[in-house]
Amino acid sequence: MKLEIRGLSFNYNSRPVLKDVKIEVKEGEMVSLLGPNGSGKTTLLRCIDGMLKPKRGGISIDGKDVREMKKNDLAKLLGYVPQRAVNVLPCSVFDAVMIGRRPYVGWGSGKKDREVVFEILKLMGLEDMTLRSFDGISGGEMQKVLIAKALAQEPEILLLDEPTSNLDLRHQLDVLKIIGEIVKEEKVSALMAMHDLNLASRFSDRIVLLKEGKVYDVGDPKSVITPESIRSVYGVEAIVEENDGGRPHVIPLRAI
Amino acid sequence: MNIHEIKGEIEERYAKYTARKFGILFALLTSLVILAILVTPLGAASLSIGEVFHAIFSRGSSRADIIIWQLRLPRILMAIICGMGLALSGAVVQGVLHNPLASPFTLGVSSAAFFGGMIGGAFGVGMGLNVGFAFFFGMLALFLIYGISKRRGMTPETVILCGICLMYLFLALTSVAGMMGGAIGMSQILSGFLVSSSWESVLTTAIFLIITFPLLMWCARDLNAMALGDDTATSVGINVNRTRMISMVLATLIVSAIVCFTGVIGFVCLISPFIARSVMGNDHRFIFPSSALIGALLLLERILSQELQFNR
Repeated sequence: MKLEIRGLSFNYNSRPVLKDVKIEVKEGEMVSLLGPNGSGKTTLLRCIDGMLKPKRGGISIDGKDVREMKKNDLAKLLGYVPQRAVNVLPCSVFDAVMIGRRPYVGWGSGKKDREVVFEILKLMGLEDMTLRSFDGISGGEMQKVLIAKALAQEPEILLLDEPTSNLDLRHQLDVLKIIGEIVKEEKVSALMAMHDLNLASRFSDRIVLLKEGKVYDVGDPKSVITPESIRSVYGVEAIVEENDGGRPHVIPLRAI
Repeated sequence: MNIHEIKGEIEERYAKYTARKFGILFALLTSLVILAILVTPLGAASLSIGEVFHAIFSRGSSRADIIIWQLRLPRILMAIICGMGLALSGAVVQGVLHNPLASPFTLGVSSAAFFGGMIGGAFGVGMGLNVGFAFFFGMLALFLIYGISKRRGMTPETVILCGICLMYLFLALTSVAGMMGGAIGMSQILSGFLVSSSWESVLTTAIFLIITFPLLMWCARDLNAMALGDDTATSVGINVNRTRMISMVLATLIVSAIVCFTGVIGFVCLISPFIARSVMGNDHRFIFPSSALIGALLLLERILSQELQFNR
């Protein structure tokens, strides 16, 4: 399914955060949102998922406006992975993933729902901690559980807010590879806010570079990640080389 | 190991894990029944278990029948209902505020409701109005606390401290009102009274409990999702504010109904969900019923210890 964002503007109180943003994510495509802190990445994802109400502009999935959809129907299409989870009253990993079955009828104690959850736990490599308490696992594992929860929604579009920010090197690659496989095999679209330029470059089909709430540039990694754009958007002097897959690889030198 | 074996293994472990929780619920229910049977023969008039059973099932007009039906059964049932209702509302408030120290007692909701009930009583129109007033003041206290907890920089501990201030404020107001009206003794206000209960109080509180419990169970899963954060809950289609509102209203409703008959009973609503969490984990579908059963057990145990103390 195709996600389309047209002329989206959003203000926190009177401070504009997003200005006339236009993005398209096609079916089976992995798109990374890049940009410095405060450039509006998280706000954009939250607008798409309906947690924030944009001031102007439209968001549509396959031509249907998300604001006209019921919350439950939207939850079957969009899987959202927050940056981190609160865990004051932690439940078990299994129950946390089962929360993703909420949009489907019967509140997910059916056999089908359990099957889906078991399969996703296996896919994410979480099978050994199924019954562990959510606060008894590492930050990286928590991130994986949140992704598993979003996958349990069987969404058409995945929205991920810095899915690798809490992960170690191995888990970063692991998680992005799994997301990439799901995107390709299940024809899911993924839009993720990222901080790591090199991971984004390696795993995304396209990059959206945000600067102060506006789209600075869109395109394949090679055309977007350049020394000029990094200087202009991040204010950092950097060398851009080529990685083993022919994608750009950034070596930051100094802040300007 | 292939995927089916692994899945089978997870499935088996999960089934055991769930079976254990149902086992605990069953054990709690059994002990509640046993304790209720043990407590019934105890009291100022010594009756044997045989006499008690005879009285319960024959319901004649003998001395034993009257003692059982007019004094002991209402009191025991009231203890059970009260314990259940207060513990349940404690579990709900903790779940909504994500604060394991919260309870209607420590947030001042109980004492506000009791104050309301007393004001209602002053008009002398009837129990319905009392509960209505109690509910109004209870909600007032709860919303005040909720508003405070939403403020920036508020930790769960500061919220509880505010709640305790609120509790003392309303207790003070109650004692002032009580002194002016001369209605209820101060000791009763502070300790809660389960000494005399009528069938009217049993029925009224039972109705509130029976109506609110299924509705709260229906909210339980959504509260589970909300424990992972509002964002996560919203993303699976939960109307976070509506769920919060519904469960807070229901919790206050039970407390208000109970408090009007029994005064402020403190510890059950805080301690029962606590015990429930430690044995059940944090799944509200299990916490609600287990916490209710534990609450009932605790209040029955209180009657038991009172009787053993005074009527040896």
